[in-house]
Amino acid sequence: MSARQRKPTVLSAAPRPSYGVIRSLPFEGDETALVAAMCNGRLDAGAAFYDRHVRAIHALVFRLMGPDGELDDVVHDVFVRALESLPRLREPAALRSWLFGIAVRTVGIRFQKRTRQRWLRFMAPEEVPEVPVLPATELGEALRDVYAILRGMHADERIALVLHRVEGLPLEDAARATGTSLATFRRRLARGEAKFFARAGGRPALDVWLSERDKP
Amino acid sequence: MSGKRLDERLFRAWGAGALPVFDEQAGRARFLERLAAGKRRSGRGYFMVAAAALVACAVAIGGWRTLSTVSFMTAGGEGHVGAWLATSSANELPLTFSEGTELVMAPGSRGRVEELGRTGASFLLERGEVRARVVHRSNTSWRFLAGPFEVHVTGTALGVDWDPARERFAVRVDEGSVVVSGPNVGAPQVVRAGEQCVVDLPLRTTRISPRERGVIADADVPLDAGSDALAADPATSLSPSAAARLPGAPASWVKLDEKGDYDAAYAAALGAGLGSVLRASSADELLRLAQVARLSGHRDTEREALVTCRRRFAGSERAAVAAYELGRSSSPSEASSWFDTYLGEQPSGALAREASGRLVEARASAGDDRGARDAATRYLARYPDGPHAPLARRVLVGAHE
Repeated sequence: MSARQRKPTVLSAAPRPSYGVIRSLPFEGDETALVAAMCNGRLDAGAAFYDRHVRAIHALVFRLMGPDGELDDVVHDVFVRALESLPRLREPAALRSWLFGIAVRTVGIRFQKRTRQRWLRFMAPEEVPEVPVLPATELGEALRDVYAILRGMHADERIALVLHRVEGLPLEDAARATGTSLATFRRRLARGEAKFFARAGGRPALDVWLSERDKP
Repeated sequence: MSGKRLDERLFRAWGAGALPVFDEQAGRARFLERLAAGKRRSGRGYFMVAAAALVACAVAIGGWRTLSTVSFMTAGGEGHVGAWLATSSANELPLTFSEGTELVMAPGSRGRVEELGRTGASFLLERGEVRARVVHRSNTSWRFLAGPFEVHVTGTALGVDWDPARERFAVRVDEGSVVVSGPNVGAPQVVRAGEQCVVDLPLRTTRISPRERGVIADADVPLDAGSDALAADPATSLSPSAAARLPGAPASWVKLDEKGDYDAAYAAALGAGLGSVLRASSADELLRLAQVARLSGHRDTEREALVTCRRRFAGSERAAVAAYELGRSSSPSEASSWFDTYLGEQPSGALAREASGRLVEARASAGDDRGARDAATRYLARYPDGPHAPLARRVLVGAHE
């Protein structure tokens, strides 16, 4: 050890009182302040960013992907990608919709990667790890069929369907989240709905969810 | 749409339906770990420009030392990344780093320098105590890893204790401040000069409190690191991990993983020879490789890395973590046995609650109703407010998914 450096703290066994303080460091501030603090590397801002948005992102990713063993990883990936893109965020006040866009792109990339891998490795769709979280209820049974249909659809069409129909995003917002023009999004949505409905026919679990006017 | 419209009822019900269990705390910790790493890397664009200018200046004035990685010396000579260091019950082991930082491993401690960078290093404390005086510079980046805890340091004098048997962690700060993250800590905690942070995992308590200056030992949480001290003299032998690469150079795939580029990290690991990476990596690196493989979509390699971790580091805490990860990536019937394995090896481990909950989930999914009820009963007895408690209750009333 070099002589110019100080010795480490000397050990002592002297007892000391405990104060029993549990400290949390919540971040207070709007989305603009939050983004600025995160860009400065503040961990408390990072924690607040995560806490404010994780439930919405988790719900969105779940509805896009369905029961899936990689759900947690994809949610993590969304936040990591957001972190890397944060300095390029132009409208901090629109943080939530910006994050939705990242989530959509992250899920889209994951779908594309799986498609490539299935083709290259002849992996059957059922080999993709799946976590069964759908309840054994009427809705759960219907959603099982819904996700089975979605798995056979193109990723872009699937995403369009979920964003607009399930998440309820207006067409303009949904198009922005997918990074496409409104016209392109409309076409994808139309194709997605057509395929979905065509494949929903003959599935008893979905029949009960189709109104009388929708049935052939 | 051929005159057909989807019934909005289905979409409304779909949107309002129940969500799967999600461990927000674990997710937050994982995210903040990445944020903290990004902060160290200073990845923002304008910093990159500044860094480029700094590099140019450094080269221009022959400042090669600025670009070189930190090195360190032990009592036995030059130290090496990955080499296990141990102290007997009577001796301390000082480590001196080229950028001026000093570490002293207390008697009865084990650890290793896990990574050397240009502005700091990572020290993994397997057990016992390490005291440090980290030299502060504008870009200092030091990490202390102790079990599941991580202490980020930018310049300070501190002591870190970790007792793996009791799962008790403590950091005490004499100068400067540090950021502590890990289980039961919640959001990363700042511990400042004159304070200590003590985490007791079995009791699930975290306390940050003032401490008397110069006092390292904690009367409330005695860390008896020396009680089962090693008989060995300071060890400086190279681990296979260190022997497989140049001294002081972290594997390239690890660096790419830190940047979040999982595809490139996986490709780099393949390029280095997957077999040799599996043979040479430390337990932590194998777990990291498994994560890289999972996130880049290579589940076969993920499994191979985890199985290798269990085989090469059998009996260690990291091997148990590998069992847990194997459970996460397996079919429900196989997952049950892996979560069982984790709980058998680490009944009070940091992942015990999550493994217990996932065991309920896996057994229920595999159709093992009796096993699921047993696991649910045990889960509720131990974690009545845990994230899997609603599922466990549904299992017990026979209404699970």
